[in-house]
Amino acid sequence: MARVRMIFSKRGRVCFVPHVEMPALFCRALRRAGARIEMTEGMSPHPRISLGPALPVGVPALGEPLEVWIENWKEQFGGSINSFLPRGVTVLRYGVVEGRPRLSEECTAALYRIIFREGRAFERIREMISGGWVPVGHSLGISASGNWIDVAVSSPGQTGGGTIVKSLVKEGVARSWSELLVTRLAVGSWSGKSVRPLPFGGGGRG
Amino acid sequence: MPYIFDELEDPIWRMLSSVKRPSRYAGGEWGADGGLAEGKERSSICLAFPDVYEVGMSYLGFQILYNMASGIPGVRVERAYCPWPDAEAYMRENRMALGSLESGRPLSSFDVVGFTLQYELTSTNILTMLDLGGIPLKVSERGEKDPLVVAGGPGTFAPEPLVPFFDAFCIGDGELLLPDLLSFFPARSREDVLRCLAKTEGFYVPAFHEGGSVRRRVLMDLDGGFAPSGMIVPSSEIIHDRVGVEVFRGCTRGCRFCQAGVVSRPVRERSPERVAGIARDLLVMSGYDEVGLVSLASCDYSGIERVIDLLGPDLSAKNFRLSLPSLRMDAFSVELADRLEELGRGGLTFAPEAGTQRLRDVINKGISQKEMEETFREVFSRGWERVKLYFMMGLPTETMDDIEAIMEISLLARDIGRRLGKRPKIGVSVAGFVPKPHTPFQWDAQATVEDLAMKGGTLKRMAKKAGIGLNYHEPAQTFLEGVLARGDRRMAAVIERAWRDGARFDGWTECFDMGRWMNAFDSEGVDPKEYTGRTRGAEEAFPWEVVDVGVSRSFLWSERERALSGDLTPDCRVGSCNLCGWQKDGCPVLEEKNGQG
Repeated sequence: MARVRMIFSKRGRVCFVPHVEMPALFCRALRRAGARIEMTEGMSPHPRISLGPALPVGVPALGEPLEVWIENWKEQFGGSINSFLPRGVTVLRYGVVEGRPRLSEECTAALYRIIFREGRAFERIREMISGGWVPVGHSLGISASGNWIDVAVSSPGQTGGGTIVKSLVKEGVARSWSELLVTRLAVGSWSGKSVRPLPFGGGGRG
Repeated sequence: MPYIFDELEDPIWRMLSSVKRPSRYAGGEWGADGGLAEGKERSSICLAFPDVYEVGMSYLGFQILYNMASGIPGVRVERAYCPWPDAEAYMRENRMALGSLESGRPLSSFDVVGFTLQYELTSTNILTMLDLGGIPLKVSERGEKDPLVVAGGPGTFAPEPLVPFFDAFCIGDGELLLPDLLSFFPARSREDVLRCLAKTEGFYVPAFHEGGSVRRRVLMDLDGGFAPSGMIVPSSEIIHDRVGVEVFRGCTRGCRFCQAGVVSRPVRERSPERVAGIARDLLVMSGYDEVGLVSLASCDYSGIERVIDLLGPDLSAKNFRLSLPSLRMDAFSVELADRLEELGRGGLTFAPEAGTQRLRDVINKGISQKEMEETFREVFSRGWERVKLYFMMGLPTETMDDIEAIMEISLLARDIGRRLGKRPKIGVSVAGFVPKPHTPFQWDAQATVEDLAMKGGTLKRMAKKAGIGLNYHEPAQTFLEGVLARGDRRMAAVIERAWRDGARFDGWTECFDMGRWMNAFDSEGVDPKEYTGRTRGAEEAFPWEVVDVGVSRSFLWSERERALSGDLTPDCRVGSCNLCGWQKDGCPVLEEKNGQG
């Protein structure tokens, strides 16, 4: 039995596959690769797999965490998994982890990039940011550059892209999701300056 | 750090960001590569399902045809589904054409667009897809550059209401018809292809039809036919999320209300070895952990025990499941379900169809009261608590006693469960009966909307009092289904009118508007009740007789007479041959009997 952690990206139209569907999608891909996934116990056993904080529908992501318990783990499953995944989902890193806290406990920060399709709206938000505006209560940091803003948030389970968009709509900067491209660049922990990716391997909470 | 997000350039991204359930339009599923990995494209076909993605993806027929077509050299095969009204509105506002999921290529750029006709109330969705896809609605308006618009599926057995919209109807088993159809491409002209098709068995080409009936094409040897080795695996949840393997086609039970049981005769079984082989291949390819054995009545499959023996050990070692979507109402079936499912998992579904023994005899649903009691005892004593029961209302000769008896059976199930110390949860679903073409009741009048509403309302009140969950189909939808099912060519104008007035997804209660349809009937001068409200004469010719499904009219008539006198017709696999028409055309059931004799 191995507890395997994976970091994957979700790009293109597969971003519209809801977060709750991703465990089943990964289980099917792992089975295609030949892996046997451990089942939970109890009245209705289901595959033991967990994802990081919910990623809203329609949000491309560059580094999402996932953990799965595999009965017959072989290194080759990780190596070949990308050839069994549907278009747009790519595993970037994988490894067996031991003794680490649960994924939900380790994911304490996330970095969103919100790209503005219209220049005027972006100019407005840039001015607002220089004036000290923060989009959400859990903001750890915010910056503007190019035609986008980067927003780092704590408690990514509660504060996500949806909350940020809502706040932009409230300020009158955007009317809906379709005027923006909301992306999640990273999920992990806050270093004080940036969102640090999740660690692999064994050990304590470092 | 700048990152490049191609998503910004995606022409449909904004639409996906603003519609309900955008995953319906996302595509990119595992196994959906459209064939044609290399080589020159000789022909292209778009398989079009006139309902939403999650309904269409649960349809096994397209999985088989997609896999088959993608294996034909030079053929490109892609898919399209009907956009929900919010997506349709967005597409119209932004002048976007309906394209395939695989490449986004507009429907108008394919050689063939092939619809499946699964349900009468999807007719207006066909027009939505043609129109959004850039194809003129009517055959008479299409030119050389337009695709050939064809139809397959059960709706082609009564094609007349849709004739003006389709260049050709493919009648029978798709594994035989599709390669023939594609073999005529590349073609010199539309007319050339259509003339060739009109001369080919199983194709009804109204423009070149020379009279007589078109014989349904039947794949007699399932083992010798195409065996799927791949499937499209949706990335988001659909209705039947599993590998489906067909175990047989046809049915010999002879339920008199059932069109599928007539139009899919004769019974043709796949060998257990072949079933197990396909199941294994598809499980490996798809990554699913469940395989369903699919047919009209999988408990009737003579190889069922053997399949379980062949697949069982392998599946249970991997925690995989085998399921039977339809259960017969007897102890054997429950025992079978018990072997397949762990105790306490899910629920079981049965279809007694009618409340009283008398009415069950009329429809030839051969289950006795005693068998039902035994089945319920078996179900609850083996640990299940959830039971779903399917009934119909509006059946020929039905009285209020029959309706009340629906509730008596439901209560019987509940009480047996309670006596066995369980907490039974009984769910009842009641459908309004629609007399269908090619069945013994094709001559009969359909119950009126008022009658069905009264009966449904009565049942609902009784169920509420008894604490049983019951739902019944919207009677107005049942009425429209009936009109379209036995309609003639005049219906096309009504469908088009209703569609132009906004009718969409008529099978979905939240979209359905009977007022719109009544206006359409009115403006086209068609009286819908003429199609549902009268009993037809014994000699009346029917519009659907342009298709010969293989079962004789005289057999259907004799079945109707037996129905009205309450006589049962035994299953020909058990009893003697009932002379349905297939006895002279190589019926495998008869051949097996003769071989043994």
